[in-house]
Amino acid sequence: MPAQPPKKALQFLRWFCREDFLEEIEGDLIELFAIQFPEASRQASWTFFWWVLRYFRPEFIKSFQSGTLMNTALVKHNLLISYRGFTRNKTAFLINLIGLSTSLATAFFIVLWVQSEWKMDRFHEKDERLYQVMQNYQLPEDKIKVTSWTPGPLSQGLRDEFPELEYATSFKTGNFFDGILSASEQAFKATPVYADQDFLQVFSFPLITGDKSQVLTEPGSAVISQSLAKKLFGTAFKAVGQTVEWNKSEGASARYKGSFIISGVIEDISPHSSMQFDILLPYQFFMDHTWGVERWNNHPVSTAMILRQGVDLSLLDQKITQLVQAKDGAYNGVYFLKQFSSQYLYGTYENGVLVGGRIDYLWLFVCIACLILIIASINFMNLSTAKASIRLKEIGVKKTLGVSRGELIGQFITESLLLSFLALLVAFVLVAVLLQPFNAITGKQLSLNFSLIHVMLFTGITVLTGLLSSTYPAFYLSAFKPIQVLKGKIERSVGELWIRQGLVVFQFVISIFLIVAVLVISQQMSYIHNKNLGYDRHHILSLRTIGPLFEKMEPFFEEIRKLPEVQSIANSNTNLVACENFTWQPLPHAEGEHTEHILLNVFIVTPEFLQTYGIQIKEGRNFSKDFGTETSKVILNETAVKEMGLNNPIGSMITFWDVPVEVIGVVKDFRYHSMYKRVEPCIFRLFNEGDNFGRFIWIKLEAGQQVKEIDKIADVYQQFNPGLAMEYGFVDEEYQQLYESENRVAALSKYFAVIAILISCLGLFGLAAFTAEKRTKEIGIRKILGASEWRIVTLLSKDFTVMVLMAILIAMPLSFVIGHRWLESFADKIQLQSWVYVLAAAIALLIAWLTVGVQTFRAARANPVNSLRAE
Amino acid sequence: MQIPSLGGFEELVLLTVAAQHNKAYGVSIKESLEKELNKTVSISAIHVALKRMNEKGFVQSRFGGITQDRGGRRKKFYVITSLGKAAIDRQFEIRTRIYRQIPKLSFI
Repeated sequence: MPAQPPKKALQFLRWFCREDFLEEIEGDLIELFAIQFPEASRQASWTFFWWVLRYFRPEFIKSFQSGTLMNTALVKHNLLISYRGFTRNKTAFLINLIGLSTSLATAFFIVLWVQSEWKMDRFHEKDERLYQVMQNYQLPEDKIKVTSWTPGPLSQGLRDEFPELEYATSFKTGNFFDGILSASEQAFKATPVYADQDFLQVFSFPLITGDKSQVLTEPGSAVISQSLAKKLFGTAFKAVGQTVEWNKSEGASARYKGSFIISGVIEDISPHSSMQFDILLPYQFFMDHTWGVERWNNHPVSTAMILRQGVDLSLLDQKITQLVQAKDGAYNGVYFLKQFSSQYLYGTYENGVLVGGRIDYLWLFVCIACLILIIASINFMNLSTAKASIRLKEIGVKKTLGVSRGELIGQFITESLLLSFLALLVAFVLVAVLLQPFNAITGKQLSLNFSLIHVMLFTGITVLTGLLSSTYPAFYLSAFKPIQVLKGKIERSVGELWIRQGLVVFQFVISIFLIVAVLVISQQMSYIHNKNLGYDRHHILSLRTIGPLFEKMEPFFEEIRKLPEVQSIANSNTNLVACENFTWQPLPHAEGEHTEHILLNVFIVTPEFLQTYGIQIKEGRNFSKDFGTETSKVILNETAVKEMGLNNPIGSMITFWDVPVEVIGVVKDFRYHSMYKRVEPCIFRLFNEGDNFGRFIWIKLEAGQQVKEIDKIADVYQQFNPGLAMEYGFVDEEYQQLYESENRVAALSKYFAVIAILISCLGLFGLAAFTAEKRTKEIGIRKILGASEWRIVTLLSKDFTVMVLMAILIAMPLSFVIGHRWLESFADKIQLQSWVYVLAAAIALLIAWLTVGVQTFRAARANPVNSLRAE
Repeated sequence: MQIPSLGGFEELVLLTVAAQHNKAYGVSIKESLEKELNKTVSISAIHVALKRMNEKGFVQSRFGGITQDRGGRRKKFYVITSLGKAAIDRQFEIRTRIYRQIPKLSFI
């Protein structure tokens, strides 16, 4: 056997070449190949390809027009037949239309939501080179904590030492720095970011006026947002050069108060930015007014940078770590760089390893969208194959008249595409109507602006759904043999029945799974909301120390204490729900080589704090005025005692902030932070004499009649802070906000589960209707022979019951495994209980019975005479 | 009767077909032409020329028998038709006539 020419080339030739020329050309080419091969065996294959390619010209290319979709007459005919089909089977048509449009609307919502989440933080011009500095802290027991906090002077250090980066900026964000901005006798609350000169070079927040390299260089300059400028000065351009007063007089150690000249105005921050603020203030101002920002062993700020092209990231990571270690010998963490925009979606770390973040929810919802679309497609498949018998004659006649299978398939695909596009229209109406409520649940500002991407995505999804739902019916229906069909004999294979039932089972597996998911999620949520956290978070009003009130705290407290409904009032430097103040504490017996540190959360409080929050004291006592000044006394929690290794904590001396202090009490562990975290060690101490107040005021109220009490407190507040409305919150509400995204997922998943179940039931309804219709004669005969109505109902529902039971069997282990995995992310979680599954199964079964029952009962009640007289 | 026009390369192929009476097929034409012209001729160009001349009615084709070589594919043999013969005759005639009109030239 001589050498073989390359197969691929021959295949290609056969694919495009006209059949009447093919044999000659192939033969000649093979012969030539055989001649050439011995001379230049290596090149021969390539030459062969080249030869083949030269035949790729109009004379030799066969006609690819099959005529299925090109033929307008045929398309018209298909549309007409589809239309007639729709009008003839109104139930099936409506079921399909409702199912498809609901699922498409759901999918569109999810597309909008995913797209909006995806865009978060990606609008910065140099997004792909914009990195944030992160670090891994070493905690006891080899735990690693990942944070984005960095030392205050880091950006300066980076600028000085690393030519690898274009710009670096350190900045301080956080709405607990909210203050009052006043000018021309007007005052507004504003959220600041304290940023150094390169902030606007790193982040692309567009300036309306001003030069981004200049606006933040002067120590006394500030940049405000457009809407704030409008409120204060009328227009953005008038604002430049004006002087504004910034007052944020709260917190013990820092009083952020000063006047600034506006050097620029930025556009209002896009909702696609995770950083939201109204005003940029100089970083130097923050440094000057905050203790310890200039220290390298303190990590109070964030740092971001623009890298140059082609920088080796891991090398830079090491260099940054070395830089910090050179400045702070005790530092034992590891720095690394992370693309700024990825933090939003991929922000969850577990023991130093990236495990996901919001991206999990994105995937979850994309999966749900796909599942719901599949459920609706299954309805279409099932109804059209079940109703095949009605169309058999049509197919038989068409086939006898010479319609090819391809054309029949084309017809069915046209039909389902037509239906899909009708559903698309309905879906658009649904989306337009429901967009507002959806925004309310998700907390987004989504809108239907028809960009090309949207149109393409939506059309794509619609076409895909149409194709998905039509392929099986199209191939199934077009495969009938005309003679058998016209004779009225169709062999319904067992396989076909299996497929249809299997699809129903699949639908119900998804539905049951979603029911279980909803039950588990809502149980876990209510567990979190009602769990005993070790402190009482109810009826506690929270205020912020803001404005002139700060100067007159003691009299304000006295006034409030006089109100009969107030049980106690306390003050602290940090929020209990989301503690933001922690420090590194050397272990008490740290001498010589023992330089181990633990991370301590610090609560600086007034003596009433523990009482206000109902935190229980396990040993020792609370702070008390009876003992004189107690600024050198501290209270620890149980975890702190354990991790410090104190055997007799009461009365023992530890070093805290370089000063020896005495432990006077131990409180039972209580949960601050969110449930994802373990209880961390914490320490309570009093404010120093003199600078005695922090930014949070807590007022414990009597239960009931809260509105009245708040009014009274607001009156007092007005006396101390004239002109400023009292902004307040409740601790239990703030606690719920910690679980914002979980609450949203819980709410959304409920709706999606309901939609999935409804669509599955629609399909079941259609199938049941069809079965009942087909078996009218059988039912009539049975009734005449004496079968009771009940007997007939059970007869008809039996098949469906079996299907749902099978679905339950499959769905249970699946939902157990996935539910278990979801719960694992919580430090405190519920046990998966069996009643959840029983309930889910019961719900599914009940809904299925109800759906089928309506149909079967009607069939069973019908007068047999009517069904039997027809012939 | 109007004889369709005959291109230059087509003429060469047609001549070869006529010369290899009843035994001309793609590869044989290619080999013969390459020998005569002393340059490579692409097989696809020959096929294109054959198709065109088939449409014009200058050649007829028939399949040969199945053989072991050529991967079992049959050869397609071409024969010149009377129209084809007329076409090359006319072509020859025209050329000779014009050639004869050339005055005696001497190139020194």
